[in-house]
Parts: sequence; structure tokens; C-alpha cells
Amino acid sequence: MRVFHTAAPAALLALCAAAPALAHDHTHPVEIRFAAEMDGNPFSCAQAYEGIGATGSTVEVADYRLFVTNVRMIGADGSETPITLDQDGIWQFQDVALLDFEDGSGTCVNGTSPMNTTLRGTVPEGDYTGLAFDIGVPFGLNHGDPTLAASPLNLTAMFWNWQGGYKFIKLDMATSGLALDAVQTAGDHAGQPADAPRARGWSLHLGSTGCASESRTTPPTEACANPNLVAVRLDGFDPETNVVVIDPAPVLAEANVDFNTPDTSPGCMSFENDDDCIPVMARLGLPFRDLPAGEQLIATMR
Amino acid sequence: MTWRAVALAAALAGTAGAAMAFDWAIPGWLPPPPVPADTPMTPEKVELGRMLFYDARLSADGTVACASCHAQDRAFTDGRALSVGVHGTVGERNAPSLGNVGYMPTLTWDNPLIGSLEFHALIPLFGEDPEEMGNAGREEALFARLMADPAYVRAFAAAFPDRPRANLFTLTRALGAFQRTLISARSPYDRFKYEGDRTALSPAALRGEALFFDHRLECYHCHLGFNFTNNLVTSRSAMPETVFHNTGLGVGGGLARFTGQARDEGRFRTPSLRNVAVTAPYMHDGRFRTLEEVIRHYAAGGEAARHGRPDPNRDPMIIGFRISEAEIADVIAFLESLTDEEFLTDPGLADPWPAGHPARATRTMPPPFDPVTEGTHMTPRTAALALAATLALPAAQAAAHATFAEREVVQDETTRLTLRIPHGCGAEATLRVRVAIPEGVHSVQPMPKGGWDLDTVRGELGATFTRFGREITEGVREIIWEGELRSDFYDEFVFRAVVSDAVPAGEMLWVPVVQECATAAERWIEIPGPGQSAGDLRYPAPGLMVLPAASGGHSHSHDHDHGHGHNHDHDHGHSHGD
Repeated sequence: MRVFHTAAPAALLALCAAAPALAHDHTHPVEIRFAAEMDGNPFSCAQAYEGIGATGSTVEVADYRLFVTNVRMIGADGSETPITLDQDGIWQFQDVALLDFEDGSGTCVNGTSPMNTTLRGTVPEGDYTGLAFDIGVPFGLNHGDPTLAASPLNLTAMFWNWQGGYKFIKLDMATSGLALDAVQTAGDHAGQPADAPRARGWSLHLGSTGCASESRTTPPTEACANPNLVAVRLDGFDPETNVVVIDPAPVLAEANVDFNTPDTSPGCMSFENDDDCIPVMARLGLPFRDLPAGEQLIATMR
Repeated sequence: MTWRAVALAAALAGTAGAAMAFDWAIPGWLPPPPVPADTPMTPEKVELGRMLFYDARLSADGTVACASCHAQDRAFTDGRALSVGVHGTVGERNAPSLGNVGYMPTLTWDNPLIGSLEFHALIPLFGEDPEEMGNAGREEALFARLMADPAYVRAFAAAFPDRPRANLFTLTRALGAFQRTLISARSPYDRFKYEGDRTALSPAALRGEALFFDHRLECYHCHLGFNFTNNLVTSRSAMPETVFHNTGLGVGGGLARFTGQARDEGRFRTPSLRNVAVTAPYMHDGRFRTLEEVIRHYAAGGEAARHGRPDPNRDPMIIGFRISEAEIADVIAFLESLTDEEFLTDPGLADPWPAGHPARATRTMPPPFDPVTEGTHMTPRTAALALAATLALPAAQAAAHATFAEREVVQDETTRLTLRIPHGCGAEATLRVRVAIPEGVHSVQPMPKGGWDLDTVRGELGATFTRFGREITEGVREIIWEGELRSDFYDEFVFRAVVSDAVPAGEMLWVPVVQECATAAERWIEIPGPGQSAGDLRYPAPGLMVLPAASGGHSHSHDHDHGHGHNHDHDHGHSHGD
């Protein structure tokens, strides 16, 4: 990408008044577009997807959201330049953004109607030939007080308080083998607990684990043992012509989403004791137990 | 509670309540719990927190309030091994008592990351694994549900004038403020220990205290200090103390789930022992039904050791000890002295919502604590069988159970029942006879007895019965005769009652009975399981065969009885009181 090698028009400069006020530091707006897919097909809450995972399961997606952070443009010389995210009060806060691929309709029973598939920010003038970002929430924001946090860090669907942080990826699915019962609302309950526990489907919830501090008397200040941020690097990415494709199907290719290991969370929720994570984590580019990290397969470009 | 009076005084004086020091209404020897800097305690916040704590509208399906798993009469526990959330979802942990929870530096059994009540509230409200209240992603609906009630419009405005509506901040701060007032410090032991009342403890409890603080049992190494746990933070603490132990239960997980350290496998936070006699079952998974089982677990050096698999992470203090049956009873008597009746019945901590209000109309609650059938001395069936197998009891003694002179009762008829007490506790005289009235039995009337004081415990019956056109919802739950019966004498205790058709015809009705002596007790409370008879048990509850209502004298059909029941008393609406 060489779109920023000329001086920016004056009108754009005027929009960058909040940027550090060096006269020669010309910044440019930039948009990074994302496309959600399932196994190579455009994602929609209106359909089921066949052939997912090791068993070729048919799945319906109930929720599909993820956080990205640390978004950088890669220069021709290999240098990395952060994109300053617009502080829109909804999707982007500091250097974190929530991508929300579901609109709460159809199969997406756990979702919300607003969607967000774009990062919006500014970047200094320069020659850029690629994009890098992490999927997740940085440590400094992951362990704050969620009751006081700004949007999108106050969305309870993404809370993962049991681990003291947020879900980085939230993918909830009903599969051929594991149904997902819709949540009843207060308006239509019968006043009786269900006879059977609610079916929970198969979920991928990625987040940091092992965040307890060594000391008994201090809160966690050190990085977690398993931060589980997914590092993504897309060489040759041009924001004007390319989109980032997020597709969980390759991550789940070796997972049996029709089965949940007894006495573990439904699907893979990042816990060290959860055997359902064994075929998943390496394909997110993350180590798990003694297994080394592989290539991350969730994000590609087109 | 005293803080109400303070609030009133503040209002009359025109003073902002928040500007005044909060009156905790706790004994002078006890420092208050710490309070987060962003949320000073005020009576208005506490009252809002109490409304929220008991309100099932906090859950997605309207069945679960905080109180559903934390009931006051059980010291804010639920009597279940594992708690149950929305849609009947069974959780992973035994609900811990909230007594003195403001003094706990970490919340939950094993999570070191949860250091405040405000943060903790997010877990039941929004957790997905397991779902407890089921609000993940549905916070706006939750806030709207609450603000639709004018009572909350007023209460949020009073508690949070600067942000007078339900949101993540106000909800969690109010719940935290109320929970910090759940302070239990007025038990008999407190009167003995901190207020100089040397008569507050029974001789058995005093012996039990000596055992508890002795190096043979080592209980006090972990269960120490005012709250009987080595996890403590007060407003005077320079730093909180948090400790997790592996007590040889033979399980993994626990603290290690958060630290990832092998040495933390099976380590759990030391629970407080305050009110422990009413918080059964015990341990993080509710595996032990009685304090006796817990004591035997520690005497064995941990259950895992008893089964030949001592846990490598077991705490060095868990080495086992020898203890006699009398000493077990003494330790239990001491633990019972930590029961704070004032705390369990304080109306300032009780449900503020009237019956039938939408806040509680569909709320599930544990059954009321039953001091007889759930008393600390209840010997579980399996343990009783094991004991019977190992102890060579004189046959005559084993056979001389508490029984009824009658063998049968007829449904829906007033029946006179004669309880026969054949002996005391070993050589000790019987001083009290307590009869627990089972579910489905109503209209109980005990017969006074010369030389014996007679008392009853009344309460909700858990169902509505109709008799002579009158609805009966409450009545006698327990009968207590107090007097003296020498161990070598025999006596009978009479009452009458109606056994409703909620008790199936053709089955036995078991009536738990406890004989209390000066230092021991005989507990006739075991109920035969499938394939067992009363003769298989060492302490069977006295039983009666239930016969169908005598409509035609030949039919034993339940439906038939109903068909002819127009002129008979009927039991309507077997609702389960929850």
C-alpha cells in the first residue's frame, strides 16, 4: 500500500486536530474492513452451515463476536506503526475494538442487533505494505473494573469475570450433536425450573488464563500465564483493496463439535483442564498444555 | 437495625446520610469490614441492596434471586450440595455462607481473582458457565425490568442521587453494601469469648472448644480468629490474608484452575465456621451431609487417605487424629455455639418483598431449615450402617427403638399417636423429647403431660391443606416436651394429627424423633432407603403405615378417594413452598 505517500488534503488534516500537534506529522484516516465467514461462505444469522469440524457437523451460530487490539500498519522496511482508533463511544475504546458479526436475528439468539465489521482510525503518512493486529484485550484493560468501563468493555456478553477478564472470542453454536436451548425471558417463564438442564451447544470462548498473582496479597499485575492473545500478521494487506476474513471453520477443523468432554465447559473455553481445547488452540496460533503453537488459521486476507 | 434509626435522625436533622459515619450496629469489639472508596456505606444503599438481593427479577427467567442460593435461616446458604441456577442449571460449587462475607478478602471457594463483592456480583448475574442468573448479553433488559418498578425508581434515586438508575455500577454497589451488613457476631460463643458471659456455653461446648483449639485436632490452625478462617480482611487490616488449603479430599482443580500451578491442585479457601451448624452440606462440592462426617474426614487424615490414596498436595496439618464418639459430640456442641440466632432471624436482613409480589412470585427458595431433620447430629444412612456393622451392640438395646403404639394412620382422619420412649441416652436421663412433623401432616395438637413442659415450633407447612372449609398453611412443625425420664423408666408422649393424602397411601410415614440428655442424644431420624427396612437401621425414625381415606372400605385407589371426597377434608394444591 502506498496511498499515504503524498501530502493529505487540507480537509482531512482538519479532522485530525486531536492528533499530536506536530506540524509535519500528517495523519490519514484509515478503515480496516472485516468479513465474517463460515467455512468460506459469507456469515449470516439466517442459515446453518454444513461440514464443520472433524465430524462434518451442521451448525447454527448463536453468537459471533471478537475483540481486536494493537492494530498496526507494517511499513515496507518492516517497521510497525500503530493505527490510532477513533474513540467512537460504542465499538472502539483506547486501542481495543469489538467486531460484532451477528445482528441478533435468526439463529443468533445470544446476540444484539447492532453490528460492527470495520475498524476506523488514523495512521501517519508512510509507505505501508501490510497489517498486523492481535485478537483479544490487552492486559492493562483486561483486568479493570467492568462496572465502570466504557463501551465496548461494558458489554456483559463479553464478560469473563471468572477469569478476571473478557472473552476475546465468543462463538456460540448449536451443532448436530449439541443443541442450544433458547433462553426464556422473564415475560414468558412458567415459574418452574426446567426439568432438564438447559442444552448449551458448543462454544469457543477464548480468553486469558492463569492470571492469579504469585503473591497472596496483591492483585494480578503480571502478565497472565496464558495471555492467549492471537497475533495476526497479513503481509501485503492494502486497506483500500483488501478485507480481513475471519473464519472459525479452519480453527475447528479437527475438533468434534458434536461432543463435549464430560465435566468440562461446553466446547472449548480455554481452561487448561478442557480436553476440547486440544485440537483448537494450536490452530489459533496458541500453545496449550505441552502442545506447541501452530499457525493461526482464524484470520486471512482477501 | 440501628442504622435505620441513624438514617431517620439524619433525615430529621436535614443531614445527608452519606456524610455521616455509617452505624454498623455491631459489637464494639469487632472492627467493621473494609468499604470500597468509591461506594461509602449508606442506609439507602443497603436497603436498595436488600431489595435486589431478594428479587428474582434479577434472573433471566424470573426464578433466581441471590436469596435462592443464600437463604437467611441457613446463614445465607441453600442446603444443597450444588447450587441451581436459571433453567434448573446445576452449578459446580456448594453455596458458601454469606455470614461475615465482608471480611473475606477473596470470594468463592477457589478463585483468587475475585476480591470484592461488587466484582463478584457480576459472576452470578452474567456468568455463562455455569449460568446462575442468565443475564449475559441481556443487561439492558435487566435494567429495564427493574426500573419498571416504581419502588426501584425511588430506591435508586435515594441510594445514588448522582446516577439514579439501574446499571452495572449501581446494581453491584448496592448488592455489595447490603452484603457487608451480613455480620454475625452475637452467637453464644461471642457472649462467652468477647463479652465475658461464662455461662453462655454448655459443658459439652466448653469441652469441644478445648478440643478445637488443641494440637491433637489442629482445627484452629486454619479456622482461627474472629471469623474462624485464616482468610481475613477488616477495616483495620494493613493487608488482607488469603489462604487456600488442600484438605485431602482427593480432588484436583481449585486454586490451580487460576494459577496453573500443580502445587495448587485441590486447594480451596478456608471457609468461616460461623453458623456452620445450619450450613450443611459441607465442602466445596457439598459431599459431607453432617459435621460428624466432616470431623471423621479430618480424623482419617482426609477422605482420600482413608481410601488409601493420600493426596500429595494434602496440607501438612491434615495428618489425622484419634477421637472418641463423645469427643465428636463435644466438638459439634462447640460448633453449634457459633450459631447466631439473632443473625438468622434479624428482620433487617430478611426478605423485604411481600408474598405474591413480582419480585418473589416465581422465585425458587430452599425449604426452611428444619432443626430436627437437618440438625448437626443427623447420622447418614451409610455411616450408620457401617457403624452398626463394626460395633457389637447388645441386641436388646439395638431393638429398643422409639416407636409409635399405633401401627397405621388413615389419610385425612384425625389420629391419636402415642410415641413410646424405651430408654435414655445410655445411662443418662432423657431431658427433652422433640418430634419433627413431616411434610404432608397438619393440624397437629400435642397433649400436655404432667411434670413436662410442652412447647411447639410453628411455621409454614409448605403446602395448603383444607379442613372443614378452612385453608391451613401454617401449623406445628416441631413438638418439644421438656422434663426428666430416668433411663431405666419408660414413658409415652401423645399428640394428634391429620396425615393428608399428600402422603401416599400404602407407604410408610416416618416421623423423626430426638431424645436429648444432659451430654448426649438419641436421634431416631434414619429413614430406610430402597430395599431397606427399619430393622436395617440403628436409629430408625418411628413409622406408621398410611391407609387410604375410608370412603367405601374396600378401595385403595387414590383417584377413587378424590371422587368421594366431597364431604371429606381435602388437601388442595400441593405447592412446594418455593
